This record gives sequence, structure tokens and C-alpha cells, in this order.
Amino acid sequence: MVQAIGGTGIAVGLAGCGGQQAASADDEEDDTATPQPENVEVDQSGEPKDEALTVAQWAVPRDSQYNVWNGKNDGEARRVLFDRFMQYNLSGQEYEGYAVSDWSFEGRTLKLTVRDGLTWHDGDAVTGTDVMIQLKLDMYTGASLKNYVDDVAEAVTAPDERTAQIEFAQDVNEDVVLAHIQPTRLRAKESVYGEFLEKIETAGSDEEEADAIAELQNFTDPEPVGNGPFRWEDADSRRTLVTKYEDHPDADNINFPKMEYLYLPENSQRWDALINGKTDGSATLFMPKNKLSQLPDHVRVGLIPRHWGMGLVFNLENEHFGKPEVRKAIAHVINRENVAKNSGAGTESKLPVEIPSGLTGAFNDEIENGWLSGVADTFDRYEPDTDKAASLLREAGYEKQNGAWVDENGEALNAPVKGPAGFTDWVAGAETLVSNLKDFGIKSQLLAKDTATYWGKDYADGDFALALQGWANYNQSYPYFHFDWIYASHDATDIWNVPSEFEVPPLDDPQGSPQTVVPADMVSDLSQATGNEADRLIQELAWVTNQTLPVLPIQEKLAQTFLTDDDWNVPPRDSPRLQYYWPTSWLPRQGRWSAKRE
Amino acid sequence: MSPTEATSDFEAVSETSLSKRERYRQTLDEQVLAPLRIVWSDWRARIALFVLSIFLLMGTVGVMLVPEPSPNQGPALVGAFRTLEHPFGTTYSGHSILSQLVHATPPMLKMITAGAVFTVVLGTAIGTVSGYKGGAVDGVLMTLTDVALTIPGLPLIIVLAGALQGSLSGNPYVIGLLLSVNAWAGLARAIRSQVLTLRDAEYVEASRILGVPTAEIISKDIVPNLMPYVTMNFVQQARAVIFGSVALYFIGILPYDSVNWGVMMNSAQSQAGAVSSPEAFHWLLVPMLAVVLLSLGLTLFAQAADRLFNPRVRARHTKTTPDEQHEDDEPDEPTPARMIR
Repeated sequence: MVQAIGGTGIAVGLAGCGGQQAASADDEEDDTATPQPENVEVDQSGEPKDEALTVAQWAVPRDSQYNVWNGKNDGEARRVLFDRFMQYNLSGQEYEGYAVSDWSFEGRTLKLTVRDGLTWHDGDAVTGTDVMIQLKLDMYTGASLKNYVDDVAEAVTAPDERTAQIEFAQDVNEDVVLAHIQPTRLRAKESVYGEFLEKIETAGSDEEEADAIAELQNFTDPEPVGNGPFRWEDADSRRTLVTKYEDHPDADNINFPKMEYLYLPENSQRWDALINGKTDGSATLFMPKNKLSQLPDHVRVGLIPRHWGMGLVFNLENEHFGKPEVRKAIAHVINRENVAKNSGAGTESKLPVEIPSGLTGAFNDEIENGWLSGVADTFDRYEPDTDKAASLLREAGYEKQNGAWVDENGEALNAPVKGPAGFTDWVAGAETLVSNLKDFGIKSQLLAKDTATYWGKDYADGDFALALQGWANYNQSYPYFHFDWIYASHDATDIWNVPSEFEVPPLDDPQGSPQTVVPADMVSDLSQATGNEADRLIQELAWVTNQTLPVLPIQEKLAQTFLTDDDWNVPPRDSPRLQYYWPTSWLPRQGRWSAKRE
Repeated sequence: MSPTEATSDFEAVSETSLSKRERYRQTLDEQVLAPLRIVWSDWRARIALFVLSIFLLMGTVGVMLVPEPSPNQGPALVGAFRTLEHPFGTTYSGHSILSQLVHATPPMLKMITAGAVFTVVLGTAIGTVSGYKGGAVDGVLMTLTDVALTIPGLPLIIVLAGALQGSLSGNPYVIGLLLSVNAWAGLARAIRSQVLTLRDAEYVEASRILGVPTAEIISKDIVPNLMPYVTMNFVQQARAVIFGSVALYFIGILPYDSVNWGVMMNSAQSQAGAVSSPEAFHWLLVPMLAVVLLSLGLTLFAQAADRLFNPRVRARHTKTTPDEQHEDDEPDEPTPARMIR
């Protein structure tokens, strides 16, 4: 599939799109960008104009710790303290080796090779065993890869110093496996985490194993030994300080001695920090137009597709929203374009979903000409159409009385929407969709809850009729992950109450009689399918989603990414080099974000 | 025997007899016109009345005249005083800020009325009864009051706000009560101590000897003396409810389902960083001015109300009391009303 997409020229479209968006968000011309050659040679002469690359972090630095399995307060500096297994290039949609420099599928075996010269900050070499421990601990604590192997202890091994391997119990979809492995950061230094793994694997009973896992999850590591280009130095209430690690294989690409992560827990603080030059960049930050216009000239804004965005999720056990006709009617009532416009606050960082189908890629024609090529016209686009919405509601037994829709018993169709008050761009969008519903005669109001209460209580307990939630899988672009989220995730089955079966007419005969489908089984088939089979399953799942709308995708997000060029050499904002998640930690490793020297 | 020919002091009756109509006129004069005259004689009261009536009009007539706020009423982020259509400008979603301001007024008025009335009625009732009756009644009531006083107010409000999410949203009266949940206790304590000094005043003693019922003594002899203090507390509590609700809405603790000044300020800051952005500052400034103006109006009103409940000032402004009427008949004899001038 990777090759198939690469061949359609989407890479070019994507990069071009990002540049165009950025240009409209900021009047600066592209030719002011520092020209960068293909192979960088980083200037190491003289002194850097700015000693430290400064960015922001959400949590109190002193409370940060770096045991990823602890799940709490994972320090932001992890992005430079630890190397990822692989890097994902969004514009080429390709995996590139990093801490795992090479990999190969041999039958049902995946071999991972550790990068040459990669060492821990205490001088120990990074070994295949470290990678093995990382993979195993991930699986023991619930990573999905566990579902593809029989016995974790035997399936994951380290055959030699520089290799780790996984033996899968079944055929696997390589894209799905790589997407699981790629974002993993190597944290599991054998001397620190080896004992935890040993306890888990030598546990005599399930109870002992659970205790051993709990022990791992309670362990905190506030002063970690990492393997990235920067090593941990200090953390106080204000900032985390990391210093350059000279023995990292990419050390030659970095010509400044320090990085700082400042504690800035509010969006508005981060906007002002960039405007006042307190921070040198930000990997992803929503900034409205009035703030963008306050940015000094040396700040460049790029846009990176996030393959994610705000959607409307239904409580499918609700008497009204369990009916597909009602959900479809709502889709016809909501003007997604207006919602995205208001949510974007003058920027073009929110794009309306054109075909609600569970597929991402609103920023290029990846959906219509890629995933849905040949069948896109069959899909319902749910354009705003109140007549259609009215006839759908009548079909479901509703009627309009005194300007309000009521059901057979005369009870009003009540559609309160709950959302997190802190997600201000979502709140702005939700106000718009609620007003669409009201204008149409559906009783509705926005119940904005304190962000922590919303996620921890209202949403988690399924205490809602309609709620705001991301409709796709955050940070993944391959459709499997989105359908897994919509049909098989904990949220889907336990919170939205997505039923296991749906009645849908076949994709090749949209007017035909409905047939029963089990989307979760199709998702599981997709995780093992390859080539045309995978493409077909993706189209079928998209069709089921489009016809049943278990969630209503509303908009897709482009992350605004900020770079400064007063003290730094950075790529132009339309550069394909920006098309990686977390450019503030990836570009310095590549020598694409270096200090100007004097 | 004519009314004026009393043989003993105890048989003395009023020198004049009033017809029903005259009595009504006198009541009207005493209760309504005199206060109005007092109010009008004071510039602070005039400003206060002006400001408060603007808010009352906004909350009653305004909501009928100004359309409800909805997204895309106008273009995004129009500044204040740029267009006639949206005099206070618009938000990022194109809500008219005037619409938001006006439609946020009724819930705010309900909130402050609920909170202030609750505090003042409960505080005054408990304080006067406790102070006047003394003994066991005093003991029980003051124990209750002390318990309420020791409860930390703000944390309690935050916890209750979390627990009562469902009943809170959309009910401004409940929010008003919640924000004043233990404010009555301080007032009750203060009033009790004032009553302790008043209960021994000569005129109260006289009423007691004459066998006037307790309820009447409290309402006629004691409470009027406390009114300036009570009014000041009414206004103070009203302001506390405004500030409290706006602050709690601003930091996102209270759930909301309709527009509110605190929520407007929160959106302005969180959606547009209005504090440091000239383009969006109007979005923050307008609700802030509303809060400032309303509490200024209330404060000025409280200062003027001090004079309103002062019996001497009041007597001077009454036109139908016998003292004033007889002024010309008995020019040489000083009347009580004249003495206190």
C-alpha cells in the first residue's frame, strides 16, 4: 500500500497544500526562507547566536518522569532524550529507519536491526535485548501487537547483539505492524528495566504477573538515562534542561549545546511566548488569526496534517440516536463547512470532512482518488439539506409540531451536545452545530464541561446523548487505525455502545436489500490482509461507516507548527522536510534546524 | 368627649383623625415618595438608579429587542464601534457581542437576586431573633451560625459545583444560592450584636411594657434601625455573586449552557488571547465593563440607601406627616421633627 500511494503523486499534492495553507496564514513570502542543500553540513565554527533551543511543555517540569509504562507525567523532553524506532514521513507516507535502522519481514517473522553506534547516555551500547525488552513490556502492558503473537515470552527474542525479532502467529498486514512499531521510543535500558521483565516472565501465577506489571507501572524515573541526541540535566518548577550528548550518531548535525522545555500550560501563554521570542518554536499549537498577525517576521508557520479532528459521537443506546435515520438527518442538518470555519478562528487549520466515511485526508484528494478511487460517487456526502433531513426523520416516525421535532409519543427530539470547555476550538465549532440543529427544530444545547470532568466523568461514563470526540485515531493515517477506533476500541464498544452488527446494502448495489455486516470482524481481517484485499476491506468499511454513521466525522485538523529564523537555520515552511510529526525534535537530529553562528 | 379633651395621659388619642384616603396618601408618601425624593436629592443615587435601570431594561425589554446570539450573525472578529449592525463587535464565530451581553443579563440578575435575597433574609431573621430572644434560642441559632461560618466557602462552592453539575446548568437561581451558601452566617452574627444593643433601647423597652407582640417589635422597632446595614450587605452579596459567578465561569468550574459574561471573557482569552491582542480586546472589554458597571451601580445605590433608611432624613422628605402639617399652626413650639433637623 505504501508503494501504491507513493505512485499516485500524493506526496507532491500534500507538500504543496501545506505550503499554500501556510502562505495564506501569514503574508511572509517563501523566498525569505533559508535555502538548504540536500545534504546538510552543519556549521560548527564560532559561537551559536542562541545557546539553547527553547520550546514549551504542558506539565510541571519537576513532576515529570520518564517511565513510559507509568502512564503519568511522561516528560516532554522524551522527544530528544530517547530515539524513536522509526520515523514516518507524512509527505512520502514512508517509514524511515532510526533507532531501528533496518527491518525485514521474513515470512511471519519481523527482524529489527539496531542502528550502528547508538549508545545510552552512560556509554553502554544499545542492544537487541533493549529493543526486545521494550517490545515485550509494551505487549505485557496491553499494546495491540500482543494480539498477533501466541506467547509474548517466546515470540519476541533477541537473536544477537544488534537484532530483535518478533514471530507472529498469523499472517499480518505489514502496514499495521509497522504503524504500531514506528512511534515507539526506546526507553527500556536493560540495566533499568531488565529486572521488571524478568519478574513478569518468571511469575508463577496470573496474580504474581499482575503484581509484577503493577510494580513496573508504579516505577518512576525522574532522571533518565536516555539514548537520544540530548541528555537529561535538570528540571525545576520552570523548565527542563537537556544538554547535547556528543556520542550520539547524529551529534554532528547539532551545533548548539542545550535545549530547554519551558512550563507553559496554556495556549495563550504559548502564543505570547512565540510573539515575545521566549520560545524558539512549537511543534504543534493552535493559534488564531489575530495572534498569527502579531507574530514577528522571523516566525515561520507550517501546517502538518494530523489525520484527526473533531467529530460528533452518539450514544447509540439512546432511544433517538440509536436509529440510523436520525443520525443521517443530523448529518444533513449540520453545516460542516461553517463548523470548520468557526473552529479554525480565521486560520485554515480546520478542514470540513467531505465524505463522512472514517477515512482521513481532507487536505488532499487522498480519499476520493486514493482509498475510494472508483467508488467515491456511490458514497453519501451528507451535504446540508434540510428537506432530506426532514424526510429521514419522518421515515423514522418523527413529525414536526409547532416548529419542533417530536417522536411518536409526542416527546421532543432532544439533542444536547456535551463537550470539553478547555478545547476552545471545539467549543467554537460545537456552538455552530448546535445552532444548526436548533434552527432546524431539533431541541439542542451545548453543555460545556470542565475539561477534566468531561473526559474523566461525563464522557468516560457514557453520560451523554451527543458528545464531542476525535473521530479518527490520533497520529495514524492508515485507515485500519481509524476503523479500529470506530468499531473495536474501548471507546466504541463501551462508551458509544456501537453494536456489533449493522444492516447495510452492499457497496456494489447501493439500492439493494440490506445485509448484515460485522465491522469489528472486517477490521480484524484488515489487520491481516495485504494488497488488493486490504484495499477492498478499507472501501467496505468506509461504506459501512458512511451508511450507518456510528460517529459523525466533522472536520480534520492541520497542526500549525512554528519555527523561528532569527537565530536558527530552518527549512522553508512549504518544505517537505516539515512533514514529520514533532519537527522541533526531529529537524535538529537531521541538521535541518541548526543554530546560526557568529 | 372630644378627642382632644383627655382627662388622663392614658386616654390621650391623636389630635387629628385621618380618613382612609388620607391614610393611604400618607402611607404612599412615607413609603414611596419620600424615598424617591431622598434618592433624587443624591447624585450617587441618581447614577445608581440610571445604571441599574439600564441593566433591568436590558434583562427585560432588551432580550426581546436584541436577537439571540448565534454563530455567523456577522463576520468574524469585527472590532467594537465599527458597524451599526454589531456595535460591540463580534467573536471569532461571528456572534454579535451585543446579543451575548444582553442575553447574558437576565440569568445574571436572577443569580444576584437569589443570592442576595437568600443571604439577607436568612441572616437578618436569624440575627434579630437570636439577639432579641436570647437564651436557648440564641444558643441554638448561634451554634448553627458558627458551624456555617467555619465552613470554607470557596472550596465548598467548587466541590458543590462539581457534584451538582446536572442541576446547576441552566438554573441561575441555584447558582446564586450556591455562591452565597454560607454568606448569611457572617451577617447573622453582626446583626445579632447590633440587636443586643438595640433591645435595651428605651423605645424598645416601652413597646415591650405596652405588650406589643415580639414579632411587631422586631419588625417595627428593631429591623428599621438595621436597614442601612442590611442594605449594604444586600449589595455586597450581590456584588460577591457577580464576581464569584464571573470568576468561576471564567476559570471553567461552573457548567454552562447559555451565554454568560464570565464565559464570554473566558472565550475571549482562550480563543483569541484577547488580553494582549488589540484585534480581540473588545471581546474581553465589553463583558468586563458590564461587570464593573453593574457592581458600581450597586455600590452607589448602597451608599445612597444609607440615607434612605435614616428616619431623620426620611422625615424631612415626608410632606404629609402631622408634624409638618402643624408646623405653621404652632410656630413657637419645637416639634420633634424640628429638633432633629
